[in-house]
Amino acid sequence: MAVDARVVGIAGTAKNTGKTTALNAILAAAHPRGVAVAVTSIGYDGEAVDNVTGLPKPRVVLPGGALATTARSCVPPAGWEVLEATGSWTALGEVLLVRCLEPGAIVLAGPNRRSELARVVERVQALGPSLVLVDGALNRLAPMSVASAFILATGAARTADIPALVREAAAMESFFRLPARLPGRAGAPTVVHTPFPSVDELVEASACAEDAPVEFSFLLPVHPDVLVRVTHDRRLRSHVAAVTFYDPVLPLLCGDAVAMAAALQRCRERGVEVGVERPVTLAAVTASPFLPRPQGQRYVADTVPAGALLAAFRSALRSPVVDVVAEGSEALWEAVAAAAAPGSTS
Amino acid sequence: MRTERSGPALSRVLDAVDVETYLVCSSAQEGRELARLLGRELNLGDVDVMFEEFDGYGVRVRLRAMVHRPAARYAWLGEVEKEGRG
Amino acid sequence: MKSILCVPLDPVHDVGIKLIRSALAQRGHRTELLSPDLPAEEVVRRAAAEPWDYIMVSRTLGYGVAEILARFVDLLDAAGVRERSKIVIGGKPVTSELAAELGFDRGFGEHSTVDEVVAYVEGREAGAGATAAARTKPDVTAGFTYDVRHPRVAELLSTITERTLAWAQARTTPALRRVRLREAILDAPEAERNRLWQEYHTLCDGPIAEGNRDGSLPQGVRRVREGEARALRALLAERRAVGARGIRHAGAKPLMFKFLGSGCPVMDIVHAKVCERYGLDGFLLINPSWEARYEGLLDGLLTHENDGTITSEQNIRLVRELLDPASLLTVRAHRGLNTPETVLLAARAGADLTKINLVYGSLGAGTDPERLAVDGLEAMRIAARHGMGFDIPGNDELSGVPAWKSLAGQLATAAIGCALGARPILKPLFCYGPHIVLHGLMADNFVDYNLAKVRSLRSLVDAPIWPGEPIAFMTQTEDRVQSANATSYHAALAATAGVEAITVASTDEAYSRGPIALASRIDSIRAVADAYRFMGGAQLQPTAGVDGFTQRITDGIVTTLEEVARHESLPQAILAGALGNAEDGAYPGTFGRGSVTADGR
Repeated sequence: MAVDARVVGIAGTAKNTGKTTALNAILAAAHPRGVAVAVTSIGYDGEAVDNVTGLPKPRVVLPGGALATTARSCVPPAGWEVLEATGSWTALGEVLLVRCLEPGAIVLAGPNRRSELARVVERVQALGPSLVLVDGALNRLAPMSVASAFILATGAARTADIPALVREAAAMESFFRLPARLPGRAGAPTVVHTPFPSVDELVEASACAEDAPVEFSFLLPVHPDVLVRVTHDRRLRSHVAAVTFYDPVLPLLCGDAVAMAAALQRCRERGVEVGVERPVTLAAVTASPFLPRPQGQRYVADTVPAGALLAAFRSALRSPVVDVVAEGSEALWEAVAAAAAPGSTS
Repeated sequence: MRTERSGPALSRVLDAVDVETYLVCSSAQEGRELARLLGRELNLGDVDVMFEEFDGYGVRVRLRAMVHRPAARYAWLGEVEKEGRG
Repeated sequence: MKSILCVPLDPVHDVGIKLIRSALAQRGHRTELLSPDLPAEEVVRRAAAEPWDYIMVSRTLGYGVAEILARFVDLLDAAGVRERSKIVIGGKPVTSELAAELGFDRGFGEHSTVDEVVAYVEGREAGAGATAAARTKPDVTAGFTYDVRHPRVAELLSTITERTLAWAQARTTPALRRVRLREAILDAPEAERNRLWQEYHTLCDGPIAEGNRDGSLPQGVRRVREGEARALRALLAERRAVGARGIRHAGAKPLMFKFLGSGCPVMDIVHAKVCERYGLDGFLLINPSWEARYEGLLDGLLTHENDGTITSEQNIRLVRELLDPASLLTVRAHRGLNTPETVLLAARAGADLTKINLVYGSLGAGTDPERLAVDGLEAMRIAARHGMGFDIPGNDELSGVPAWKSLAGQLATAAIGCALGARPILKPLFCYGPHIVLHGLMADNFVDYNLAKVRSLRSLVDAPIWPGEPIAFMTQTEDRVQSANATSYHAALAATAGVEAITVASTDEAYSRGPIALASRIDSIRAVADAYRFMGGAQLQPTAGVDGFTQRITDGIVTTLEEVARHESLPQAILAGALGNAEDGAYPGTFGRGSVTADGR
């Protein structure tokens, strides 16, 4: 199945949730299909051993011809061609665009902020790959709003409490399933310019709407509590008709995903429309049973029962849920291809 | 607790074996990885990198392999295994 | 002026960020320190409220903390703060890789200093591998008049000098003939050199001539392969010192020197580069002891599997080329039969200093005193011509010679050097030598007697003093920590004594069965740096005994010089035992005996 040059981000809910495994699986599936790939990162992914747990981590392995970004000091001595400097700087120095000449492992490094990632992705796309993968770092998400499709990597490393893990994943999924809506359809849009505004600040900002129904348009993070409280604040001259987030990443960032999902549900119950300006597809969720368990001063690699984990996820989520290690890369590839295909909707 | 370290001499190590050395490498990260790998190559299993300082040419490291932690069974103590019957 | 928001996300470990904030504020930057118990959302609000240049976060790390920090970085990004502000993390386990993974623009870890952070904020950093500001090369001998303050000593030194110069005037040695040839070789056009080398080899011993002519090098010696030299240059070209440090806490004295002489110039150079990063000021290139027995020097880039790096022009050049230009380089010349030639090669290869001692080179290092004197005088002339200073090692104390005899010998050598226009450096040995042990001179402490040596010399002459080689000799064992401590205490004493430089050993100093490891060098440098941090401008206090020792040493020097002045020349005095005799455990050397001949000119 042909895939156009869409940008797919792989985001994790914590360290060791399987981002690199998912990335390697997609790469392994892309190569025999002749899909040209480029891989970048929003941080750094290359240590062989986790610097907190001391446990080994998988390396990113790229096929010949693939493009990647890395830091100058991380370019392998052989097998890679440096194409250009991106002008994007990180704690490791300047990010370079490189091409893989022979299949091999590489340490990924990439721009650490949204504006720079957008610029680098644009540059990479111009070089012709069919698929651009953005590797996440830790549980960071913000720059990845440049992606048009997401893979959410979660697992027992986030929490060994499986019901809580599933609840959180379901809440996160719900943000990707928010309907697309443009601010201004239901009322006068009130754009909020302060991060984490207080209820008072929102009420004050909404005064410009006068007697018209209020539409809050969030480009910056907002606290779930504040959302709930503002929708029934008596100082509002009219009611809150809608709440729009710029994209699904924003509610993901705002704090506790479960609390935010509950807050949005309360808003909907009060008749408030909730949507996102720029929808992003959740292509798949990967669930990793890997669990680093502290033992004295060290950590040992452990797992939760993989079958039970997968079943719990599949019963709660509507998106494809994949255990890459147990099921192979094909299932993940199918999900990504479906999500990245032109005209696909979530 | 499973230990990778055992042997006639190792069993006489009271507590720890430290390795002090200098590894040529091009980054602190590489130095750390090499230091851990050195522990394995020296058959000391997982070592703790107690100290490392990267100077641009390499790292000065101190590694520690614990052989007998407190509360472990001390191979050097010569504990009597079986209780006598009265 | 920059604006910096300081965010201690760690209520327990916020001393570091407070220090940085204080330093930045002192330099006139606008800073604000948030309270450590603010929730992340409030911090993001404050960060977004104005266009801060830098947002500095301090936090220790542990399991789960990385995710908290990463989320915080996300919030800053989503809030638009990253478009205006650079975000920086500091904390003990922070590395560049971790900072990059967390999404910070820069990370500072446990080896970073407040100064480095300030330099980063002010844009003064050269880049990720910034080194200390360019060093200027110090001159150990600068500013000294060499005036002899003690009238009797001045008189005696004058007599000894005159007699020795007169005695040497009509004498020559194979070394003198060789050094003239070598100078010609260095300056001759290509076509001429073969003939000159042939003549040179007629003045060499067999192993040297064969090694140079046929390539049949002595046991354990081989040429450095071209690939090795190239790889070394490439390695040093792509790497830069990171986190360069100084050893001294304050002030410019004493300068710190270490030996190089593993046997291999490649190994020596790698050791030296790392030592430079740790703040060392200079290096003393030490040659193999067997070189002292042979007439002539081997030529080429040569490596050697035992102690001592071969004194070849190419070896010295390579070391000089790859050392920092501001690092001082001394080449040892006081032993053996090649003193003048060694000094010439050292000078031409760009070394800064050399070693010449007409006394110790014989009493402790095996050369015939007459041979050493004639050679040494020529070497001093060459050093003078090239503006090279020379130090006068006083390791004869290690045989059992009393300190005053060693110091008298150094003063005699120095006086002769000055007469020839050279600039000598005195080297009292900070040691626990046999004479000291036998007479209980350090029964109570190691401070008084060592200090007395310096005080005595300072009272006698205005000359640079550089204790070694090395300080703390005979106080070190193979125990790493003990050895480092011994060195560091003596280094602290050297600072109290106000000397110009010191030579410090590695923690392998007492280990004689193998080469010195780099880790051992680093350990001793760190120990000295700690001693200097500890002492700062404070001083070690000697006991009242120091005055008695000082007088005793001064008296001993005078007595010894009087004895030396009774002889026709300095070498005669050595042969007669005036500067150390069998009872002291000192024996004049025999290499080159009978090789001094009348100069046919």
